[in-house]
Amino acid sequence: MTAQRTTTLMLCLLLSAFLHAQDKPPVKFGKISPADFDVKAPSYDTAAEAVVVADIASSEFVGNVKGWFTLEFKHFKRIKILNKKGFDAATIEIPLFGTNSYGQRLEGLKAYTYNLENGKVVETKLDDKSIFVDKVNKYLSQKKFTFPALKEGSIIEYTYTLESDFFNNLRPWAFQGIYPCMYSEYNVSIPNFFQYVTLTQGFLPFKRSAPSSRSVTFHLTIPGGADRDETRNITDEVVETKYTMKDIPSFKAERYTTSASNYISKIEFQLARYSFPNSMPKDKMGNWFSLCQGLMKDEDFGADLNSNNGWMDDEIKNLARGAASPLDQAKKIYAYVRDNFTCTSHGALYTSNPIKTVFKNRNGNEADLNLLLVAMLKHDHLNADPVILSTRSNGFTNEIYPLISRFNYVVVKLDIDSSTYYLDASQPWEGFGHLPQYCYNGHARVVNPDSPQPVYFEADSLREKSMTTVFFSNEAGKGLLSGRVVSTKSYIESSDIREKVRDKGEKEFFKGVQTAYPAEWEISNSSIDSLKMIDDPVTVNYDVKLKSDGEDIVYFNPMMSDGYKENPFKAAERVYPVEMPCGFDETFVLNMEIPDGYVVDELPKSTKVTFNEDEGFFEYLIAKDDNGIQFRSRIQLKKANFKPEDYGTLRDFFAFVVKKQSEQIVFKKKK
Amino acid sequence: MRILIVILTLTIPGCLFAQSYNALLIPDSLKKDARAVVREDEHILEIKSPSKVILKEHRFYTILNEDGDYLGDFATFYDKHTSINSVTMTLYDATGKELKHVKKKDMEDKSAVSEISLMDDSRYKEYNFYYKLYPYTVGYEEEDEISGIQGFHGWQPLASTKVSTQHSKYVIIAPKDYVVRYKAVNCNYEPVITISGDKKIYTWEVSNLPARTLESHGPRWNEVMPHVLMAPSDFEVEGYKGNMSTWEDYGKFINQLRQGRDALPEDIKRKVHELTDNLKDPREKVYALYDFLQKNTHYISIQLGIGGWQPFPADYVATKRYGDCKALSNYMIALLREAGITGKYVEIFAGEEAPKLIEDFPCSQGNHVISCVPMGKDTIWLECTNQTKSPGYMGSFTGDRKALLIDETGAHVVSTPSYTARDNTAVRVVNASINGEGNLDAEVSTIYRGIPQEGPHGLMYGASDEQREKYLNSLFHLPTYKVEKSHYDEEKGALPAVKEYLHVVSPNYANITGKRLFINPNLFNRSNYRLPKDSTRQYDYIDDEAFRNIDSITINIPAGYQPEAVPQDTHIDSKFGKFTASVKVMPDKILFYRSWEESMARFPPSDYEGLVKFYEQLYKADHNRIVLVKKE
Repeated sequence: MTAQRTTTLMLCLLLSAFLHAQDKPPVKFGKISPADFDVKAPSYDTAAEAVVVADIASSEFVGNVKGWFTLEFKHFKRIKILNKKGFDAATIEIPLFGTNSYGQRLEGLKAYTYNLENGKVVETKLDDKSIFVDKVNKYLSQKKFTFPALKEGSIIEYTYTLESDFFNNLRPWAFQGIYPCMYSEYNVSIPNFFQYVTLTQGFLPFKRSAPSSRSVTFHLTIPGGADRDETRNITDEVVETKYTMKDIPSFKAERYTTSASNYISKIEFQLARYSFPNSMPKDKMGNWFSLCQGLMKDEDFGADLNSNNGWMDDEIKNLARGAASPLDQAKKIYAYVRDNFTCTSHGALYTSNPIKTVFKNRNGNEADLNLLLVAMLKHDHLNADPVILSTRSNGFTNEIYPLISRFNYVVVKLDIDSSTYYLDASQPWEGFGHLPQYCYNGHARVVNPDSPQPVYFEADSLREKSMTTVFFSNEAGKGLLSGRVVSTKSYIESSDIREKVRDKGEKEFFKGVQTAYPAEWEISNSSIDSLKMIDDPVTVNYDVKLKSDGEDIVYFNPMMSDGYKENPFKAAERVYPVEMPCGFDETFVLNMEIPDGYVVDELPKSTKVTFNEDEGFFEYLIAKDDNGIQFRSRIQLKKANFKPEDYGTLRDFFAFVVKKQSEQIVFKKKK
Repeated sequence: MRILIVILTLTIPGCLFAQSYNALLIPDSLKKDARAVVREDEHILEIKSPSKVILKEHRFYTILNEDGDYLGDFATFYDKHTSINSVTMTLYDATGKELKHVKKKDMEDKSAVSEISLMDDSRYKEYNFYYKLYPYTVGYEEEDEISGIQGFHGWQPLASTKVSTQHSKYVIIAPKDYVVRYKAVNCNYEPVITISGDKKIYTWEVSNLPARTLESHGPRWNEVMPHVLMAPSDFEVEGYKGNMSTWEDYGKFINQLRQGRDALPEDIKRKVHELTDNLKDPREKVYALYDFLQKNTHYISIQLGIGGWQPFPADYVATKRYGDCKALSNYMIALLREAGITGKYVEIFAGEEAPKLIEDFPCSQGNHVISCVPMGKDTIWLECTNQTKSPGYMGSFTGDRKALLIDETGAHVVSTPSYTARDNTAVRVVNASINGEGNLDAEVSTIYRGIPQEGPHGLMYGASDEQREKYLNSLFHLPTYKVEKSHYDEEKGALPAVKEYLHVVSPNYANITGKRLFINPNLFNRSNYRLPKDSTRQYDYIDDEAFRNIDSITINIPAGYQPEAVPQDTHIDSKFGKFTASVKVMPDKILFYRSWEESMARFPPSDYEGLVKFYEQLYKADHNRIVLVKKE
């Protein structure tokens, strides 16, 4: 005992040299003086409603009574409430995952509110009766409380220990939150038994102390059942690392950001392997090969894919009948799953039922439906593999480390001849060879144990094309300006239109088209092509006519109701990258006869601007001859993702488009 | 005879089965305009005693298309007073063949704590068949035990829009001497009453109601659809006994729940005297105490058991500095009492879309509590959950409606203040200039009063600076713009006002094509509202807003331009509203004036076409452009 204490003490002395140069916690739990109330909104976040004075936590391993380890996460947080708008910071919810026997438990929760009254600190304790447990569902409970005696200027602080049986991922730490934080610290102590990979992200840098190590003896109690419990003591070096960050502005979400969680400054730990004396090391992370092998053997993922699956013979035969080619067969199988099965939940990597049950129930989560699709394609001797990915709102996956917890979605890769198709049968409105936009989130992985290759789904690779043509002719009796609009929409727009028509009907959809025009324009003879042919884009057709009393001067915008009327980039400044859903290519063509009895008095000028040289352009070409006017507007952006530095250019580009597309042709009555 | 009975019992189930759930047998009249059909809806409420009810429900829906799928997603709620004895669900295909049967243990059990609450005790069980081959039928059977009656769900034979009903039945079984209260609305359905032993049985029944739909800006469901309200007479919750046959008795019950809950701690009492003893005018005292309440408490909702009805005691609010609407109102009344002023507890339906109080059918109504101080002819109304609202102002949240004032003599129907077009105003003065590039620079001063003031008030107090900036920069229909500066001032009062100052710049606001400059002089207040034509309008069009907007705009224009096209002035003075837009182009500036006044009104379907035209005229007037051309 004495010996050990000496070692610890020595280590402490050694450490302090290091620590001295390091950041130190500015405050301690329960130690409040009137001077602590001086906290104001920090200069880097002057509009703050509350300030986190300190957010300090540690994670360490302790031996438990199940003969194994428990992770102890100790957390202390102090917040100064600056004004009423910051009162929300005083309601705390701590999620606890798992069940009673295996999961997370909260211990030692203490919370106090401090107010400065007549120069004295008055404390109010949170009473136990005011701590609530909301059992959200089978696997999640929420501890909830709100601080008592709150007012503007209050300081609130709380501390608790969270015990967890899950240590595949050691508790992650976000330095940045919705309130600015003056000091954030995370101490992570890991015995050498366990090896973790550290992953970091964010735009703000943090400090890492030089790791220090000490020897620790862990007491593991092995339940003896009927016999006496056995206690095992294991000693190991424990390495402590301290991560700190100071003066952290709050995270502010911006438009055209796919997932805020991708940008918050954060640190995560993933278990790679563990090794104990006298036993083989156990690899927990493996590599992409072992991950894919594991998934294909997993009953909740691929175990059924390579079975005989004879029960689907009849259906496959049915579907294959009359198919001209393997591609045709694949399309039929895809449409069958998409159109006859309902997707019941979202963000599923694992199946909820064996595929045979899914087949019988005609419903399941995305993994159920897409793995059924893989099984059916394979059964038809087609070359299909599952692809796992993380949807945009779930953040990025890591392409170096095979971290399965980062993935939340399954789609299908199909190879026919030399072409590759990616399919998602879980979404009723998705066409063959298309994935929903939220799948475009960078790195994804083909689950093929022989060749677990990466795939990159980049929004930059999506080019949404649309084409609108308008013809105006001077037919007798049709009024001053009348013509026909034929607009072939992009794939994404087509999906939107299908959804609108499905929800509200075609009539309602065209009411919307009508209201996009100025009041004096009228549309008629409308129709939509390819509404039911999901693989094809829809084409919207209608006649358009200007109600006119033969005015002397007629002003006419050749963009009609198309064109950008407002800049999509409203905010003047930008902190994070711009992530649009896709690149695009929009063309609008108008051919018109000059209305009888009128001459062109003024025509907008043709122009072309490029965006960052070759990343896109906007052209506006207009010409007039004796017969009429030819006009064409085209906007192309070859990328979807832009750096914050590009934001100004992007905003100016669209400002120019908006300005140019609002220009008018002026017709004057012949004298 | 005996043989006959046996045969009947043997064949009836099979026979019923085929007839009941085979979707092919639904008459066409019930399929018209329907997304689903209620095949059978049976609701049996057995009142065992004033504190115990057994509820049996038995419902079958045939879903005709995906719009009706929501009826296949079943959730049943329970809480401290309601326990689910049993619940099962069955799925049938189009022919009525059973495909799947689900029991209580198969259903997901989830928390239903409402978003606005820190904690309450409501939970639900849920299951969804996610079936997709139409038509299909789902059946629910449920039995609940309710301890502590607070009210009864009425009978609503039509479940929702676009859902028809083949058969619906509502039964109340009550002790013979128990008074069952009911009231038919939009219909004359009367129960068949039978007596069986010491029980009295009330049965309502109806068959073959075709599907109906509502219209936008039309009356709400309860205003036009047939339904029967039901309510208890004697009831008991957690030992508290009451009767709600009259407002008097209902009020006495609520008053009883508040008994002994108004004691204040000594320090708060001292504070009350410190704040009010030197004030003479009782109004001043009310304002001072309301200010104290707003500065020292905030809204936190905790609803457990009878806590949905009974406020937390005043001393609880004093120490925690928080409470829900009941607790905060109760606390406010306690503060007033300490200062010798009588405050009253008022139950009300809050929100802009709130249902109306049904005055002639006493029962528990309302979803919110406020307080008020009667002062002779006047009354000061106090919203106790809001920390920034002016005393006396109710606005869109609780204004212009009937409420229940509760005191020791019972509940009394009262009216909260209403706000007319005279009260709800937005008066805007804009000084702007447009330069030769078409760039706009505008100073915008607006005074909002009454309900229009609520938005800017929220921006002042509810939004962070960042949210405010974000909001302001997405508010206007300008091509590209920035709010360079914004400033707000408030004038408190029973009809509060907010003064807003904005400095807005908008590059390329005016379109330039060659020698012409196109300017829409209506910079900040354009009506984008257009009513679609509808020749089959069935219901009244309800205009539930009253307001008056005035915009006076001066726009300095670059030199060297002269008008080519100037929109005609628009003057409308009709039953749909009063509207004026006029523009005057001077050599160096444009003057634009617009005013629009609307009152709350209800128009019959025959007026619909006129309304379409009215809004079309407004739209046109608001989107007109002035064309200026360079002098040559």
